[in-house]
Amino acid sequence: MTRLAIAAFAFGLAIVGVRPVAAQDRPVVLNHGLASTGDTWIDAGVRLSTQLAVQVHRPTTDWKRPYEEQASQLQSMYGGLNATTVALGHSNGGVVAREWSKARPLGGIVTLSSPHGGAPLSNNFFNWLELNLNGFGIVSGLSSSFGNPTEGSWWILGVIRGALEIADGSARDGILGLSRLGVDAAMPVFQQMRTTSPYVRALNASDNLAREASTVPNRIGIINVVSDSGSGGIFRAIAPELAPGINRAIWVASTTLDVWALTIAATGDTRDMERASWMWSLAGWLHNHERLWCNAISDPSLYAFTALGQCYENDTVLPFWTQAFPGGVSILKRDSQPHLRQTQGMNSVLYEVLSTRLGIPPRGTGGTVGSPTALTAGQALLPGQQLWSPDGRYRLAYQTDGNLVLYRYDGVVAWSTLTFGRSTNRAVMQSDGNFVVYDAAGVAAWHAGTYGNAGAYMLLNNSGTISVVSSSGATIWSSPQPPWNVTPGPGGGTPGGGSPSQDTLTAGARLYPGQAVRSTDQRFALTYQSDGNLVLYGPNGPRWSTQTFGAPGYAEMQVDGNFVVYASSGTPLWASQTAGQVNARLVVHNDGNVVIYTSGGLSSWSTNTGGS
Amino acid sequence: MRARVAVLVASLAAAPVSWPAAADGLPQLRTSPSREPGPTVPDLTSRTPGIAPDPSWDTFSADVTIRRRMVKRDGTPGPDAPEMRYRWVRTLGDTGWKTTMTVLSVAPRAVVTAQGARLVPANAPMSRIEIGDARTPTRIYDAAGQLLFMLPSQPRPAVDADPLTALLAGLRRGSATNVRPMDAIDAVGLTAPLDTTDRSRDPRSRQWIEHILPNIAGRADRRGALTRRLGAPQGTVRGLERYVTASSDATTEVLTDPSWSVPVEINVAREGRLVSHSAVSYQEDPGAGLVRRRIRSEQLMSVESGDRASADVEFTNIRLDRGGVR
Repeated sequence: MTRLAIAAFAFGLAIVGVRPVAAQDRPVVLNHGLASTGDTWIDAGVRLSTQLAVQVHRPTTDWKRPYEEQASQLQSMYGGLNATTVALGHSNGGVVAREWSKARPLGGIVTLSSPHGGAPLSNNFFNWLELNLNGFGIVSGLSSSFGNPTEGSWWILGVIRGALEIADGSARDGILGLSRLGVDAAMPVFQQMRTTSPYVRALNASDNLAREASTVPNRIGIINVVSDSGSGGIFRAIAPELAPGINRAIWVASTTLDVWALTIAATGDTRDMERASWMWSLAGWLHNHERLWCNAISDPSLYAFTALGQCYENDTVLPFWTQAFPGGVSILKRDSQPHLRQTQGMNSVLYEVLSTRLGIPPRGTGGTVGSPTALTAGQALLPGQQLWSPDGRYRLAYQTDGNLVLYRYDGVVAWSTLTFGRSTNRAVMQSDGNFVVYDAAGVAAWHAGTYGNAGAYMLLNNSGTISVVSSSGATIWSSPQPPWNVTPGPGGGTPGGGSPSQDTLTAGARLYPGQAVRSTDQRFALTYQSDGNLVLYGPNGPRWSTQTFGAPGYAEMQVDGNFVVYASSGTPLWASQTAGQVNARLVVHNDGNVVIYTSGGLSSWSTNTGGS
Repeated sequence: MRARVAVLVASLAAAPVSWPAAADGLPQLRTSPSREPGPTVPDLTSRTPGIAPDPSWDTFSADVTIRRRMVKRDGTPGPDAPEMRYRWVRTLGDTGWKTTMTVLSVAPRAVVTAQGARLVPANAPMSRIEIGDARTPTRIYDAAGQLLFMLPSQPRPAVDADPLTALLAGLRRGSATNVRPMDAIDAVGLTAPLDTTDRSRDPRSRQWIEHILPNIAGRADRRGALTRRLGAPQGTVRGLERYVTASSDATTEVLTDPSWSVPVEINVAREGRLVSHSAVSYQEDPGAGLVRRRIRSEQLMSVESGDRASADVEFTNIRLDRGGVR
């Protein structure tokens, strides 16, 4: 008896118990953040469940409670969902999702602007309050300087009244806006949100990250950054549409104060001098009120409200750095939606992540609705059944002739088990980690040789391969790359789904190590080297590079228009910063220039290496 | 006399803005001196060649740089507001002075990105503000030089329909328990007319320039005005004449240079606390006069926190011309 047969016998019960793949949607639990409910996901839930084979759940948890309690609430509601369940959390909801993974395995966690490293606003809460109280103090001080209406330029009070109202309103709304955001120092989760809290330290400690890596195969953090992060102050967060108007009002108010202060300071009246001084200070406070919101939400240091304070890029509530998923993959989205708009305004990003990163197939495309893209322990393909790759470009079919075949979208065979002519039974992902094709007699016709890896699962990838992935996320076996992906040069980029073209990477196309895209005259090649560096070579040697050595992953012309070099861990190492242009393409020209074009034909980026 | 002024100017220029020690007659300070460093931009020399007033001048111009910072109770420097540079021009017309303030520059702000720190230009949404005579509303121009809007010359309705006001009003709901300074102003009936001119003065008078460019010939007039307003001097402090006046709400101390009778320090105390401190420094001008070069001030923002707001207003390139700015 062969070792394989012994393994098959030993796990006979599992094989007997194998259930065929059901046309079942993948559970996705959309979790909300502070001051919100499950209703915040209504639109996104409808869209995602229309576009993807997902079964959406929108729980409402008590967002003021500690993370552990919120996770318990999730577990009590959705503990029965299967192990492929994806938890997608916005803001604090992402941290709750990570906490939930302690209670049960998850197929993936996607976080949308979540404070993995804590929320600096919790650290700076009282500094921010004090700043606003100081604003009241200046307004009061200035008002008091008009205590005797007969002295000096008393009439100036009427002139600057509008500026005083704006300052008064800004101070008031600087405080009230906190409750609008759900930030309240008295709520139990508040202390946990501090960047220095024991909870945050434990959440990101190596043992917890190792646990997450072993129980949650896909961990993705979406980092959102708005343009002009420091403009509009707190109003950018609580009323994004009105922020430009408020920014203008603050400028008008402060400049009005400055000019009138200069005017009355020239009267020589000592009381006017005092008033002028208050007016200059108030104008400065107005500017600081706008700028210091950025420090308040992004600088966790003790210096945030000193001259050494820093403003970090942010999504109006959280800085970029805390949104990165420790131990997972982080995706940076620039010019993104402000924090309070993200659950409604980022459907395309969520679609992209769920489909390409989590392998959830599109609904209504690629055959069977809800076809899975993976086989987990105990799942099998029966004769006539098939799997589809996340992008729908490849399908793995267990044919009635006994052969298990991986087809490209156009019917070209990428790979097969060469088991045609055998009687059929099933292609099964065994609980011992081995992926096996059995014939009718129960004899293994082919196997991946991956036994001894309990908890492993089989994935069908966009690259035209199938992989067996261990429970820790490591690829322990993979079918060979299809021929069109192996040879560097013309057509590079097929694996990600872009249409092959000699000199062009279309949306979705990737370059893997060793692959290149070349100019039509073959003189220039944009090569993704095995050392991770993306280099443009010309007849006289290298002309440009991304300087991304080490841990090669791939370079992708993303569907969002951004051309990004990723490390093997999924961490973006370099990007063209051209996101926001759907269906853009990258072209290597015969003059040595590499250009990204929008779908309208406009140049959005280039290496500036042409013509020489 | 010139030597004395030079000493005075040098000492003021060298000293950092500081919360002064308590002077006699003023309440004890409850704040410690600031450790804030002085301004980093050196004094520029006025390019004005002898600004002895020509009686027919009709245009005043100066560059104004304003630096602002908050200072903690213990003197620790707080955050800076962006440094602002303006061009300040006043021109005399038939009905009075027209003031134009043009934004020359605004300091960029530093933002830390995933790729490192970078400076972001401050895109001021407005470029210029014009204040005319009593019958002309204030005009605000946007960054492109287009008229943005005119400030109202009539009292605004209590509830404005513009989005900003609506937003602010909406956010305020349910917060009536807080004390509102503006409500307090309304309560004491200090609703001033929105007319932007003090009718008690001659709208075409050039007298105001005496406070920016004091001439030695005006010393007696200035001293007389101080005495009428503040009473006789009450001794000297650090060689400066000291005037003190007290009203029901405040005690004001004014220290003047005895040679020129120009104010160099103004302190205001309310309810037993120093709440405002201003220091004015001058530079001697070849035309036998002084040039006001800098006003440094600090205000107590909060009794509870002890935090102060400081402003440093610097004047350079002061000119008097006839027929417009040359």
